[in-house]
Amino acid sequence: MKREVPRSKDGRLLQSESGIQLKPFYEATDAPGHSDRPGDYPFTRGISPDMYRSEMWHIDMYAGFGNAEEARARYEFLLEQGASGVNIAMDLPTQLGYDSDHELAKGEVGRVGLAVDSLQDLQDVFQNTRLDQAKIVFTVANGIGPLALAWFMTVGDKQGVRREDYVIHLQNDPLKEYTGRGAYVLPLDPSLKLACDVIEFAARKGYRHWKPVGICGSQFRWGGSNAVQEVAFGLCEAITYIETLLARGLDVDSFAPMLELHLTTDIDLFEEVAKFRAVRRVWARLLKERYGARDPASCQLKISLYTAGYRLTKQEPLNNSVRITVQALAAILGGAQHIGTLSIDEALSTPSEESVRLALRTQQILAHEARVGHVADPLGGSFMVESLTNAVEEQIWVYIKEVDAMGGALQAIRNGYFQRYVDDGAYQHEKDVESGDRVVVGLNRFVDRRLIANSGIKPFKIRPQVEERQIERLKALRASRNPVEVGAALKALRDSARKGENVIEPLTRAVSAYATCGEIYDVFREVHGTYKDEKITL
Amino acid sequence: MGHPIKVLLAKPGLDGHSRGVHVVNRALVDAGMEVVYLGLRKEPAEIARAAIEEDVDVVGLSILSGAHMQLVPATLKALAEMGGADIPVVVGGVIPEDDAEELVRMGVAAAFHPGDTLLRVVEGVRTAAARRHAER
Repeated sequence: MKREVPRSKDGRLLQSESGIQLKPFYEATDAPGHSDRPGDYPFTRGISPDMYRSEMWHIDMYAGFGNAEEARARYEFLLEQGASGVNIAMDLPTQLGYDSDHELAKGEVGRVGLAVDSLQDLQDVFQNTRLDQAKIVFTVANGIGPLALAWFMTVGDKQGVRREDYVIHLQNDPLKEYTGRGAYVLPLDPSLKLACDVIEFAARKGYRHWKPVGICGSQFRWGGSNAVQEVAFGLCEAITYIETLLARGLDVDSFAPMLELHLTTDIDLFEEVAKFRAVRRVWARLLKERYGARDPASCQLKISLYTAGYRLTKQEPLNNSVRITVQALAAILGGAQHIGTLSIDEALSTPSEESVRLALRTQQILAHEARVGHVADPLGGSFMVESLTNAVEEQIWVYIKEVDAMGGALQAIRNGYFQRYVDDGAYQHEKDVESGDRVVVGLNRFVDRRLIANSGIKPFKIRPQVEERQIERLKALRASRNPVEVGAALKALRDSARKGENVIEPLTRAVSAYATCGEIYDVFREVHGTYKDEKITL
Repeated sequence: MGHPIKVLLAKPGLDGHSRGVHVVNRALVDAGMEVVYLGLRKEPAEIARAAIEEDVDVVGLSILSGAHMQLVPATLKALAEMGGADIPVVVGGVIPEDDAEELVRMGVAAAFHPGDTLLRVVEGVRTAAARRHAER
């Protein structure tokens, strides 16, 4: 039963996005005692005292489609226009460990991202760009984390670039695929194992500047959960990764500084800022109090995020620019380290060059014209924001306790705990839009009935020959390889996987021999089974 | 038509974003329909076979990856080949206007878009089911 939420005289529901009731005004008694500083434990106000003065947030533009040549052109354009690195969206066959000529790849090649069948495709993408010029290379690669690591390292090695001179930034979070994103490849336990192989490799090699994992709260939110659940469930999954790594005998301080949470940023400005502050505080407490971290860097949560796509409408798409701007502002005021702004035409198709440039400019205008990054945690001390931060923090601990009690995040995935919140939230959201309780400007209120469906924005379409051309490239690649070398490398990989060893070294050798994505993941599927073997309650 | 409308929902192809199909599932159930949700990563032939075995009134496909011009015709074809050509197919997801029109020309009963209300989807499914029974 929905409790009666007070409304303003003109009908606005007076609660935050996640349902926290809002007072008409806040005062000192609403926010007792938080006089800490940015850069001081528990880092509520930011992970460093001067935040963006010494390290500007990274402008992270997820992009990619088609073949290497088209994708390369977009990445070079973005770098030229000020993006902080190369953020490679890979197509679905690649993300799922299938080659472009696989039966299931039909119609999917090069659509939601770049088709990568082997090292060759990435070498082509970086043909004009050394990795130390790109500085940061990012990809989601949740089901294929180890492969993505091996790909980037090998591109860099073959270019003669030192691993110290660029950052590999991976999402590499297969656990979250099981709730709402669906790009899983293997069952849960081996997926977790392989993701941890990546983190362990980076930790043991001392590549502390790398970001081998971005543990996600984002897709819970995109699937329908609220802001509190987003961060709480993300933290629950982080706990699982941390405990798995500790069980391998790694010291918490050897890997925790490299961990980040991948979240989203949405339009309820003050709640979002409170959310970022609260999640930093909870992270710090977990790392110090539960896991005994001694290095402050372990307790300083790095946050990487994209603006929330579900907030954007197909109707009156120019309105989306306003939404994206407010979302980005929330992220900056909230102290995030990597910010990806979506494009106004996201609900129509893969973004065009014009709309992705606008997304980039949004961040640049906020940084250089609006100056909102000049001061750390500028909303710190706001009675409202401090009060909301406390409220969000309190709720986060409740969820963490619940998931702890059921045995952790893997259990919560298997018994559908996360999925239920996600689905309930999504359904309620939709009903609220249709009842008008949730206003969506241009869609259910303030609608210009003269406008026709597309409002003049031409959806970007990839060229139809992409799939054909990629399959030809793949054939040519297979014909040009040394089959003995490939066969031996795959066998060594299989043996290593069977023994349960860290697979990164043999995987890197297979990648160097130009084993394909599908060939490599066929090995893992053979050894570990597939996601179909996992029993999940929906 | 005395029995509740029975709908098969599925996500063909590789796209795994399930929010939309989960919401539609609930809305159809709330509207009194029976829903069989096949899940993610289903091949057109699997979907067609299930639709016929379950003797559904309507098939609903959710595709957000852009591969709809490959997957939807393939599903229509599979249905036709297995004797289910009379089962109407509705689609939703990220489908540009001109592709939606083309799909309807190819035989899709209705195409839904982001922003369409659940009421519209429910009505669209009802209409499709009714048309099928009228033609039987």
